[in-house]
Amino acid sequence: MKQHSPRRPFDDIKYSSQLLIRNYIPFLKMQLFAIILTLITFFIIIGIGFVFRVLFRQEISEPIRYIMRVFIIIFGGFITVFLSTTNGLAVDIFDSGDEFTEFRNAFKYFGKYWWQYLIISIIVFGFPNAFQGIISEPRIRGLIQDIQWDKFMFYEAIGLIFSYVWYSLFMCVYPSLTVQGNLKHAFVENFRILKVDAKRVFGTWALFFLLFHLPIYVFGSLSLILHVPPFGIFWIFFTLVNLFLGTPLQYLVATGMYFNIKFERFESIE
Amino acid sequence: MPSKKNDRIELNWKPEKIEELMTIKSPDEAIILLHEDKKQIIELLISNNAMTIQQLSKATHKNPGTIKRHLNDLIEHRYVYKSGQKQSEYNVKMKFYSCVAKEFKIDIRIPKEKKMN
Repeated sequence: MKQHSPRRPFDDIKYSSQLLIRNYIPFLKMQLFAIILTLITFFIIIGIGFVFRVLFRQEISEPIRYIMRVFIIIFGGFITVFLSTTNGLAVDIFDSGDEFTEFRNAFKYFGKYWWQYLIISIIVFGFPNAFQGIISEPRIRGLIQDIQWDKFMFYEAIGLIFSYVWYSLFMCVYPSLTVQGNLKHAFVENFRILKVDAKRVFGTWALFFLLFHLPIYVFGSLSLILHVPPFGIFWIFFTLVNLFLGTPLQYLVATGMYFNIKFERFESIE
Repeated sequence: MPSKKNDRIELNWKPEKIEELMTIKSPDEAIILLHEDKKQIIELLISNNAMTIQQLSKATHKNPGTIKRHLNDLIEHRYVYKSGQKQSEYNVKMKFYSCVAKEFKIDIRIPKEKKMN
C-alpha cells in the first residue's frame, strides 16, 4: 500500500468528515435502525409491565423479571455489536476501491465478527463507561441532595479524560480486526500504530474529543449547576451531534489513521 | 462490496485491446446498452476514458450503489472493465472503470438475414 507523509490531527478529522458527508446515508440508516430497535424493545418491556399491572392486576413475577433482565442484556449486546459494524462500513469506504458503502453490509460484518466486536466494544467503550458511571456517582446524589459542584466538575472531567486516553489507546483495534480478521493481531497492530505515531493518535483523538465530547460535558455540567434551560437545550443539541455525526466519524477517523500510518501489518483478508 | 449475485461473476477481466468500434448484433445485448442509465454510464466512460464510481455518481446524480450495480452488469456483459486503481490523497482506494470500445453500434435486422443456399 502506498503510504503518504505524516499528517496533522486536523487532517484526519477533515478527510474523515469529507468521507462522512459523501456517505452519510448508510451511517444515518445505522443510527436510525439502532434507535428504532431500542424504542421497540423499550415499548415491549413497558408493555409487559403494563399487561401485568393493569390487566392481570399483579406484580411481574421473579422468573419473568429475570427473563426480562437477560433479554435486556442480550439486546444491549446486540445493539453494541450492531453499532460496532459501523467500522465495517468505514473500512468499505477506504478499502473496497468503490469509495462508498451500503447499510446492508453492516449485517455481513455482524455475522462475520459479532463476538470479536463484542469483546472490543466491552474493552473500548465498556470500561470508560463503567469508570464514568462509578465516578459520576456524586452526580446521581446531586440530583437528590445538595452537592459540591467543584468536586462534581472535577470527577466529570476525570471521566472525560479517562475516556479520551482509553479511546486513543484502543480505537484502532476496530479497523485492524475488520481488515485482517484476527482479534489477537488486531490488538498487536493497534499497539504498533501507537508505537509508530502515538503523537498523531493522541492528537487526533484530542481534537475529536474537543469537538464532540467537551461541549456535552460543558453544557451538561452548566445545565445541572445553573439550571438555565438554554444550557440544557445546548446539551441535547451536542448530544445529538455526537450521536449522529460523532459516532460514525469516530470509526472513520480510526480507519483513516489505520490506513495512513505506516507500520508493520499482518496480511489482510481480501 | 459485490452482491451475492455478482460474487459468481468474473469481475476482474481485462480486454486484450480497446476496440475502435464494437458492433452489437444480439437483441439481448442491445437491451443492456440501451438501458437509459447504462447508456449514460457508457457515454461518460467513453468521453472521460476512465472514471470512478464516485465520479460517475456525481455526473449522473445517481447513488453509488445504483452505479455499482449497473457497472457490474456492464462488466458481466463485457462492455466495461476495471482499468486501474489509485489511492487518494488520504489513502482511500479508488478503482477506475473504462469502456472496451471507443464507439458502439447496434446492428439488428428484423427478420434476420436469410441464409443463402
